[in-house]
This record gives sequence, structure tokens and C-alpha cells, in this order.
Amino acid sequence: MFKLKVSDAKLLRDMATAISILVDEATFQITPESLKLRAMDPSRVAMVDFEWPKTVFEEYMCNQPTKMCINISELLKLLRRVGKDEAVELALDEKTGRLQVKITGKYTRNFTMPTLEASEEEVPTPKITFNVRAKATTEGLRQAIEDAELVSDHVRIEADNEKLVFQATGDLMGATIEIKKGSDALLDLEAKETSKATFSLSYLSEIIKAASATSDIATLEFSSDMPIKIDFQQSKDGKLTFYLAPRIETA
Amino acid sequence: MSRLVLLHWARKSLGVNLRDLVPKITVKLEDLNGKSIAIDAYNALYQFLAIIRQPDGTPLKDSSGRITSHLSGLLYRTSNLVELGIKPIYVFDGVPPTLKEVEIKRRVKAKEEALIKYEQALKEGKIEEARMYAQATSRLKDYMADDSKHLLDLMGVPWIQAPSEGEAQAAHIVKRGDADYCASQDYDSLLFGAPKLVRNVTISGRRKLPGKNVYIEVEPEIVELEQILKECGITYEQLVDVGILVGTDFNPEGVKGLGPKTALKLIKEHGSLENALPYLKDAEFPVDPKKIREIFLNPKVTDNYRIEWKEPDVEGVINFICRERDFSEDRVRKALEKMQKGTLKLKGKTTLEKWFG
Repeated sequence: MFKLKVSDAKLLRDMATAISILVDEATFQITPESLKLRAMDPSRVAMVDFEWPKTVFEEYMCNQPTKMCINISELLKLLRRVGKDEAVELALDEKTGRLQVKITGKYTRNFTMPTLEASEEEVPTPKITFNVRAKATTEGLRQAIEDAELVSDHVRIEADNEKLVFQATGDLMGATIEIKKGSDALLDLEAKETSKATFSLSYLSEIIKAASATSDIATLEFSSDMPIKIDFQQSKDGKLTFYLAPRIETA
Repeated sequence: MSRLVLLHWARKSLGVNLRDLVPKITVKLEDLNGKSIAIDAYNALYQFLAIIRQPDGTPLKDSSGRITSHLSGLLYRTSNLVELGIKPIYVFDGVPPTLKEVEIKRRVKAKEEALIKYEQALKEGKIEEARMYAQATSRLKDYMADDSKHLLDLMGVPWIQAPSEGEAQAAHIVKRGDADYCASQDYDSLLFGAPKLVRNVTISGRRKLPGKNVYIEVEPEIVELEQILKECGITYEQLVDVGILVGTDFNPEGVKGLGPKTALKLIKEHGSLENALPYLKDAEFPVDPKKIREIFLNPKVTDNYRIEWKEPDVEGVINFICRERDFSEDRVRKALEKMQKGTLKLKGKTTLEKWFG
């Protein structure tokens, strides 16, 4: 038996959107304590690590741990229909294997959707020693990424103890976006050593745009030519973290 | 016609016979990872058409009777190369030089004869023999080249249209540093000045010997022009002259009775083709040998090409070869998945798996 209720339907929708950036079929781990998902995109370049403890929900009921796989874009179609002050309830009917989606506001809407075969894959945590830790506003990151996207499809992120630099080089144009320590966009910056790594802008931009809806502040952690970890701080309890593998030009 | 004669045809049609002069290094296909390879497209397509056949020699066909052996070879071999991190570029022949007419006529005639033998063998129920003759009947039709280019586009693999000889263009691309190797079964690329040639790229693996129930392991061979010239003690221009004496696509017969070793000795002794000819009274050429040399030294090539590897358009490939040409969707999807892993490598992309430890 699994059932939950979220009074902030927008938050649920934004979270589902952020997950849908990387996965179509999302397998959630459901335990009495929390709702979790950890999955990679099909090309295994990026990973999303999501967890909502039961405190996030208005109601949360789970008797025993289980897995539930749903088509996240199908769920999103329903969630897009949810208005501002409406609540969403999800309930898994284990007999029929269908998920009931109940939207309550001025009136009540009941949808059902199928669940899919859950993925058995256990996605491990990448083992990385991070040399840079930068806490920035998601708005600042979004601007930097949008600037870089004007000229290229990849961006080099570089940091020392003074500044965080986004450098994009395209066929014709180039862009350098520098965010200094102490500026409004950069709340904190620690670098054990100067580090730089290059990432695909299509991934970075989709992740940052979607996750910004759930979060105002993000912590970037990276090292030279290693995956970047971006943790989007959640206002309620809960975790939304992405990992993105780098591009290594000499590989 | 005996099998021996047939095999002789097969060898003759593989361009200049420099085998005995060429020092080669055998490598594994995976050792070529990260290398870009300009593949002689027609040479590869002919191989696919010859090899990819049913036991009795019938080529693969779709439900409307169109031959698909070349597409099968191109898809599976290319995805295999890309998966290994190899960057293929296919170079297609353009208009052949008019000097090649003799060779082209000879090939057409050979194929017609092989076709008669094939039908005869089939009638007599000699399956092994039929398959062998069938391989020699392979003809590359225009629609096959068009199909192949279309498939490569969908797969995100670059191809280049040569103004004339594909091998000359491939050699030119390697000379300019835009690719690491030429790939062809022929040694002609070397006569076109290719610094590095790799053979067997499109057929490596377990191969059946023609006419026998014996399998051998075919491995890529790397041949370097510099190395040949050093070992033979000649210049590149002199190597071209040796090639002409032995026989090229423009004078398939060469000088009768003259093998590579004797030809080399003659050119070293006399310095050049012109100086050696007076000592070869019986030498006959279908065309002026100086013109042949000119084709190798100054071939018609173009600098107007673009080499870019893209991600495969999976649904596009499926639509084309599964929906239109009746390939198995399962197999094609698997091949493309492997290929996608490779394209990540090509673009310097990494996957998170590398850091799972």
C-alpha cells in the first residue's frame, strides 16, 4: 500500500519536470521514510539523484518498501492540468498495477495511469574527489549558461579561489563569463586547486533551467576533467542533485 | 574455367600487385581507436556485395527484390568501427579517368563470364562453386551507391565525393592531415601517395577461404609509404614506375612476365620508366605509360570537403532500412546502440560509468 498527498502541486510538477530531463521511465524507490529516485539518462552522461522524505508530503503512507516505475512525461501531462491551489494525491493500486492520480480543488479529478516494469539497476554514486565547491544562485548560473549557449554547444567551467569562470568557444564566436567571489551571484567559493572541466551545454542548460524552478541556490562541485555535481538546495526537506560527465577533448 | 584462373582475376582486379615489396604490420582493429580512416567506399561496397551472400551465392534482397548486401555490410561494419572509437570517412569514386576504360571493359567481361559459370554451377547443384562464381559477379549499381550515401547520412558518418578516383581523394585527405589512414584492399593508394594505408579494415574477423570450408582470421595490416621507400631504396616517383611495370588499373596486364621484384630491380638499375623501357623490348601498354604516371602523381582531387561525425539519427535509419529494406529492427537497434557509445567517445564525451570505480 502506497499513497501520498502533496498540497503544493507546482512543486511536484517542477520536480517531475526536472527528472524528465534525463529519464522517460522513472523507477521510484518507495520506503516508509521517503520517495527516492536515482537514474542515469540512456547515454549515461548524466545522473539525477532525488529524494523527498515523508515530511515533504501532507500525507505519506507506505507499509513496506517497494518500487514503482512510471512514464514521467505521461504523469507530467496530468500534472500540467493542475491549478494553483489544488492538491495532488497519488495512490498505487498494487492489484491492478495502476497509479491513481487525484487532483482536488474546486472539484475533484481522478486519473489512472499504468505502471511499468521497474528497473533493477542500482546506480552507484560516482567516486570523485572534488577540488572546487561553489555556491551560486540558480539565476546567476542560468544567465551564465544562456550566455555561453549563444556561441557554442559546450562550456568550460574553471575556478580558483577568486572567481568562477564560464568559457565557451564556438566555430566563430567566443564568450567568457566571470563571476567574482563576493558578488551577488556567487555566495561562496572554495578551491583546493585551480580546476577546469568542459561540459555539454545542452545537458547543463536543461538541467539548470528545469531545476531552477525548484531551487534558488545551487552548489557546484567539480575537479579537472571530472564529472560535476550540482546540488539544488530545496526549500523544504529533500534533495535534488545532478551529476554530469565531462567532455575530454584529448580522449 | 578453372578456379585458379578465377582467383587470378580476383587478384588482378585488386589493383597494383605490390604485395611482395610491402613491409606490413599486423594490428588489431581496436588498436586503431581514435584514428580517422578514409575508406575507399567502392572497394568496401564491392567486398560487402561479394561476401554477404547466402550459401548458394544469392545476395541479400528486400521483399521487392532490391539487393541489400551492401547496406548490411555498411551498417554493421561501420557501427562496429565507430563502437571501437574509430572515425570512418567514406570516399566515393567519381568519374573514372578515361585511361581506365581498358580495365573497366575487362571487369565487365569478367563479370559476364562469371555470371554464366554461376548459373551453370547452380543448375548442376554445385553450391560451393556457385557461391564462388557469384562473388565474382558483384556489380555496383548506381542505386547502391545512392542507398549507401543516404544510410551514411542517417548514421552521421561523413562521406566525400571524389571528382575522379576515390583512392586518389582518400590519399589526398591523408596527405593533408585530415585523416590518419587510407583504407582499401588495393595498394593503389600508395601510388597515389598515401602516407599510411590500412588493409582489411572492412573485412577483418573470421573469414571463409573461397572454395574451401576453411576459416582464417583476417587482421588489419598497416603499410607505410615511407617504410616501403626506405626498404626498397627508391623514391616515391620510382615506386609509381615500378607499379606501372607490374600493372595498375590503367594497364591491368603490366609488362608480361615481369613481377614486382624484377620491376624494382629494373627501376633501381635504370632510374626511371623511360630509361628502363629500352631494355623491355616486349613491353606493351594499352595507353601511354607517361599518362598513367601522370594520373598517380597529379590525380584529380578536391579540397572542397567537410568531415564531421554526428550522432546517428536512430529513427531515420530504422525507417530507411527496416521499413523500406526489411532489415530486422532488433538487430539494427542493437548495432546503433553500440555505435552511439562510440560517438560519445569520438566527441570526447565521457559517461559517468567511468567514475563508478
